[in-house]
Amino acid sequence: MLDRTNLAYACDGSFWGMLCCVFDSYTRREIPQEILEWGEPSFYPVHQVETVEEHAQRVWRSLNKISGQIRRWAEDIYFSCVPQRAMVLYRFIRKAYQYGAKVTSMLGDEDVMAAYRLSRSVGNETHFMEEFLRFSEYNGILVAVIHPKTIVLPRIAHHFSDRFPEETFLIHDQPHEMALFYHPYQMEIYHLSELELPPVTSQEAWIQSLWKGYYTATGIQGRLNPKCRMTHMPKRFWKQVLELEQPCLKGKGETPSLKTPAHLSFTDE
Amino acid sequence: MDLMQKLEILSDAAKYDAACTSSGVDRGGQKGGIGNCVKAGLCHSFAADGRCISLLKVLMTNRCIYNCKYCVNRVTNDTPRTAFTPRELADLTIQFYRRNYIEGLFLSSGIQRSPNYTCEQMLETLELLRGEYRFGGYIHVKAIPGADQELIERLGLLADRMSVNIELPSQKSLTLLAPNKTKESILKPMDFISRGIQQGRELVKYTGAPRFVPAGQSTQMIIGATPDTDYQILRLTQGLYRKYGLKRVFFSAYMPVQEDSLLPSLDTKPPLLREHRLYQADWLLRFYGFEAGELLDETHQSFHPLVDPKANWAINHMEQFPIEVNTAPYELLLRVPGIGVKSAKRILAARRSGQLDFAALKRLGVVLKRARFFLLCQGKLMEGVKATPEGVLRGLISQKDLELARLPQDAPEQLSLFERQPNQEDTMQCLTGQI
Repeated sequence: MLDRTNLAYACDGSFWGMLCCVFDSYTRREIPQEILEWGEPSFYPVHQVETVEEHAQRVWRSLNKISGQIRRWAEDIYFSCVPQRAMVLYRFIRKAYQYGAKVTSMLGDEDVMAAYRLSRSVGNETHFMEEFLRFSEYNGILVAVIHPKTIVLPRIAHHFSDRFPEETFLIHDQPHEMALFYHPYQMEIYHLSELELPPVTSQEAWIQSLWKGYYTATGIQGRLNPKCRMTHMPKRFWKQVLELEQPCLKGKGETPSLKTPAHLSFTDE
Repeated sequence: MDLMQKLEILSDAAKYDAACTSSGVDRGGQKGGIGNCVKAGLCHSFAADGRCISLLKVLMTNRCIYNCKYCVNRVTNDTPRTAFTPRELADLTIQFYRRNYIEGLFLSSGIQRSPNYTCEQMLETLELLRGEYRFGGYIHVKAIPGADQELIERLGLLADRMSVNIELPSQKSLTLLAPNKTKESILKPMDFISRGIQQGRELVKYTGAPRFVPAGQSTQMIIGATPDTDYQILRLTQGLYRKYGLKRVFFSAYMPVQEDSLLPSLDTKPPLLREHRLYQADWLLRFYGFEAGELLDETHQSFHPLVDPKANWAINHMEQFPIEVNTAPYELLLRVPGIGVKSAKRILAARRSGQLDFAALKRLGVVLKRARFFLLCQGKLMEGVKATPEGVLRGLISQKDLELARLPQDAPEQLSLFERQPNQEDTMQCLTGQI
């Protein structure tokens, strides 16, 4: 195989398209210097990679054959949504073919480390979402809007469907315009660019205020440590977790003193 | 009283319980039910004090017949009293849980009427949750000292974790501050639970049989309310891990909530640094293979304010270092300041497929700021590192440690023409022996 061919590949930016780059590189016996999306300019001569499902499937099956962890990393690299992900994926797959299943432990290698970083970032983001996602109830349906840095819906789907098997819920990933809809024992991820929600009912607002009340009451004034809180719960999630919508560093006094309306209780739901 | 007020009073009274972990049990969701548990636990929020909120931590009631001097809920204290009904609390838990606010329930209680009555109230709540709602989330429940064993056993079958708080680390302190409690009354239920867990593991049971306290038991000690030293506390901690197989021992820096001649005065700051050092040492006991006797001894009863326990140990055992990254056993790697379980495991995995140098260590994410003084890569120290005792000590004291341990005279003050106070740099020079 030629070592340096001054060449760039351009794919359609989909996961299948990226796998086709790997396929083309092996069949054409060349190593691209960079992988672009269609239409991006390059200093190198560009080879347009056609997305052929059969080719992508062949690469995909070969990855599955090596190990499940490699397949997972490959998906994670795609989910990470960083601009250079296609090249990271390409280099990682080459290393995976070269070294086999043990490649995921070769963290001293630069290409493997780059892949590991992206995979970890998706893992971290998934974890943040499982922690800081908040549902609100609309007409019996639980709805959450999230703003993750990476694509997380396929990764959190199992966690929430296992946890709430009898609920109907919708999770909207706003930046990536995706939505996860679960209705008992059926799940679907689809494209959704905008979601319009009605104002919450008084019942829902009451439960939310109970939660905010609990949140403020449980912090200890004498140990106030906003920096520690920020480390564990970065500010970008604050608009998502409703207890910090309006930052309340002070404990009591700022608690909304909401009296329970007479007609509201859990029993008359 | 409406639910909002109840919730505020009963969570406010429960907040001094440090334990808020939801770890130790892995349980999938059930068809027709709600909730699952993940092994590592899950935090859902962080309070203004930086502590995680994982469970809905409340008291069943803050009415109490005891008069423990350090406690907000003691009988002689004049505060509003209230109690949840089991139904209210179960509903609240479910409503919070399905919105992903919490991971489950942490239920403690003051002693209302009698230990048995209190225990029955808690039991009723748990039965509602596990039975009627088929709740599969996490439940941490306090064992009430003095309640019948049969009740504790029933609680243990419904809960994931149980705990009995030791609160004060010695019998002397107990008689002084908690006259209604004795060491025996605390250790008895702890012993009962640990034997229950042991039996449950040994007996071969059919699958699906309810397990007794599957996530193990924990306890808590208050730090700084009594004159007990770090060494005594750490020895006790180690003893508890070994004898009762506890999962966790929590430390809670004493927050003055009561005026009493036997307690530190109300304006005392909570000993947060001491609590921090104890937690560091606790981790060393549980994950790093250290013994209490290695960290402190009869002549050194308290932790160093500037250097963490592991670094302190390393400085006093410089003859064992530096060690070769490519060959050192896992146990020894763990003893290097700056290398934790994650880094040590990554080193182990990575060195299988090739020799490591310092650049590779950096790529692995091993933080070399402190570790560089103790490591050799292929027989060589890192470039530019001189392992002189002063240099090592200087390298091991972090800015954060300095701030945490800052002496009162280091606090910012107005400039004065007279009497220069020693500043941080002077303190550092004094410690490292440089003038």
